[in-house]
Amino acid sequence: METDRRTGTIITANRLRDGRVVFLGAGGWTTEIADATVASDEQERRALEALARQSVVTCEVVAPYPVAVVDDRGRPVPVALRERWRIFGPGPGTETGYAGGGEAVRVPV
Amino acid sequence: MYRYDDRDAEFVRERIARFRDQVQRRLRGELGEEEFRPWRLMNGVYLQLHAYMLRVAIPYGTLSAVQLRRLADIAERYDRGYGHFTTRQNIQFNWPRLVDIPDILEQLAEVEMHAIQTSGNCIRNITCDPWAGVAADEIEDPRPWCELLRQWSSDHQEFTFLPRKFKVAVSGGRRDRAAVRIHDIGLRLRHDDEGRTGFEVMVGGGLGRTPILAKTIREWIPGEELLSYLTAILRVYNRYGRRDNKYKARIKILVHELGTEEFRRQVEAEYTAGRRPELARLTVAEIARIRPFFAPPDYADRSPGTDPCAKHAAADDAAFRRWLSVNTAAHRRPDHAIVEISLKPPGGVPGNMTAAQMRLVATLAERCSHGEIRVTAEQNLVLPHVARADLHTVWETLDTAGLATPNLGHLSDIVACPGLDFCALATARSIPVAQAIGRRFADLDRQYEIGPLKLKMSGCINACGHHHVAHIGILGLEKRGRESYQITLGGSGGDEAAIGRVLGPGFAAEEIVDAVERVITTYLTNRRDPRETFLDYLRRVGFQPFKDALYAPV
Amino acid sequence: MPLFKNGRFVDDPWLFLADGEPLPGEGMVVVSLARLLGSEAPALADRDGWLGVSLAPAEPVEKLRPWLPRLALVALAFPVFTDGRPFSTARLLRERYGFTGEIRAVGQVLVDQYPFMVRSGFDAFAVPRGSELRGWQERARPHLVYQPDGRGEAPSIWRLRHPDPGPASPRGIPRMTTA
Repeated sequence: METDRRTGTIITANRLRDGRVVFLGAGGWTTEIADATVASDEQERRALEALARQSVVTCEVVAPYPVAVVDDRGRPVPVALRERWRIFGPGPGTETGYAGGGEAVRVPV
Repeated sequence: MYRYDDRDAEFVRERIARFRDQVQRRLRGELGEEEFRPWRLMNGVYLQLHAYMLRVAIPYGTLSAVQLRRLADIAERYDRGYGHFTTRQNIQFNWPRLVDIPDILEQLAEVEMHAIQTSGNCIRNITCDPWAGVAADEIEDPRPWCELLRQWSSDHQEFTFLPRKFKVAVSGGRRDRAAVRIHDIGLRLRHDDEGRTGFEVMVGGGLGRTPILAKTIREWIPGEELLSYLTAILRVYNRYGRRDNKYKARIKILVHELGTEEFRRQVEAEYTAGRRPELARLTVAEIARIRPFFAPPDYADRSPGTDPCAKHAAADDAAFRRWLSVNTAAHRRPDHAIVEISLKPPGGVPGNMTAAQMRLVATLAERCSHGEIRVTAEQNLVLPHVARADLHTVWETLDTAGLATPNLGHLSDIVACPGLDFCALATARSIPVAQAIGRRFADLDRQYEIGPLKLKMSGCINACGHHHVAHIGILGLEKRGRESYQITLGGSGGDEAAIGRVLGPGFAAEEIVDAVERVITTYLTNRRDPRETFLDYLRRVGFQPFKDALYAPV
Repeated sequence: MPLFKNGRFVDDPWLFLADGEPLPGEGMVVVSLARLLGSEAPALADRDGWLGVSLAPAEPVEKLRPWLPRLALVALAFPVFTDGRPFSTARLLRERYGFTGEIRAVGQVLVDQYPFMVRSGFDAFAVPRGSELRGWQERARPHLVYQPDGRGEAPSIWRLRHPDPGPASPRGIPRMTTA
């Protein structure tokens, strides 16, 4: 465990309309974790959570929750295994029908 | 197969209209998430790790070519061009948008499909034997009863807010291919001495955190009394099942806590007090109405003297011979065969199918299987009505699309849940492990040498991959921030149902495939002879040889 | 709290009495099960005026049975709307015990559950404060389902398909014959 890496908290949620994973950033909800606002203490985290609750009321997102992150070259990376897969997954090769030939059609999302 | 009448169609249409209204109220904020969630779930919509997931029902695993084509259209239009077949004979899409789902449901309804009650604390898809209607050992086709139960359980006024989910399976064969003993209610179809149809009723099976096999509480219930009896079981569960603890809320816990005898006593008392003659009369009438839909298709006589397969087999077509031997099964008619479509190519995602593959199988089914396909609970498909004369053509066609891997029932025929790549409940990834094992054991000769072997894996304790009832089961957990895979051995899902036992501490992701290999080597090296299957060997020698192979100090 | 009954919002003539509150001399009162079965039972039995009882989901409806002729209302509480026990309770009251008084849903009552409640025997609905009342008027409708309710009232798909399903059959269901 690299103790010299800065830790913090970001807020993540799913967008209500399409379920996509989003992060609370300075400009609102974003799909890019690099743009997430990182709370470095309790007070900042609570402020972010309050904003997130607002977005639930306005029906922009559903199920927001805090995620512990570490700083990785200026980019927040989740600590927990599950949260890392939530952001980086699904893993390569886990979506096609079969390994050889015949690519799955990827619909732009 | 069953066809909707106007009332079935209206039922589904009304349901979609209500859900569309609920979605709109949700988007406008008139319904909060907590109020919306149960309705969302009862229309098959999960919120998963990356997106919403839609689970479409394939009632008792029976699908038409038209329906399979529609699933392909939906996969392409609303998803990423593929679908995933599950261990309960349903299909899942991983990326639908909530705003599109009412439209998707309408397009499904056009081909008599739906997503009703594929999630939620209600009665789920009624599953059965994928060889129903065509198996050589069948007592009676259970699907008319599955259809009756599907209708009975849809929007049931009393049982739509149960303590927890409720799963029912029906078996109509001499051998149980529906895994009835791992269901909340398992029904085995029987005939009495006068040839009347009835059921043995088993209750309280289930996997997950506390795997238990179902217990028989009634050896025989006449068919027309089935619904009154099930009402009694569901009512006792609805009233007394635990609602304080989500992990103790299944009926198996109630049966366990009361004891089977007391549970049976309560059900019988409720049945006696509450049985309704009207329900019996309606059952008789509705079964009589439904049964003709499941009459066998008009099989043309396709036995022109010599079995044409013999010609191909003799012509040194080794690949075809292997597929014939492993991926086909005996049909009630000697001039036909049951064809298994393997969705487990080496390195593939178990149970996944691209839209192109779906369309190919749909066309093949129309030409060679009277337009009918089945979905198994092991993430494969079946063509149930193939004339032996067509088997070579079918094989060639399947082979062009990567659907003819001759591995049914062998080591690379892996069952795996979506796991941490997709599922919000998962603790570990399962697909990459399944892919790695599939690649390690891709060699068919080696698989045949090993013999029949079921390997199933789950990416969390909820056990959707059914690892508890696999010969070799793998459970993916998380330990100190890393994935840890536990091996269980000796599970079995059919007639000699058994829950597997954990072998020992878990293995890291980079170790698990080698661990599985050591399990296999232990068996191969020490079995009495090639006819002693893995399961027989395990039952004979016990766990110690495997523990030694995996954990003894080097 | 708005009361929805017979397709519209009506005034509620009932007084829901907390356990500590003294019994009024007259009027329609609803008491808890514990109070009904407790030391005040004779006073409640003798009292002039309509009597109702309120039941929590875990409270056994069997205990109410001797009192039913005396009761004009049974209120069934939904602490959360996903607690499905009151549906069984309502059906037992209507179908097993023949209760003909008002069965009211109280607590977290959602209009989307209306069809399930009506078919189970509820006929009155205490709509939670803050709910949109117009939503009730628009959406509180029964819908068509397959299985019959226990009282032979609402139409159902099976009853429509088989208006006269024939006499009870002692001969059972013969095995399915196949070609």
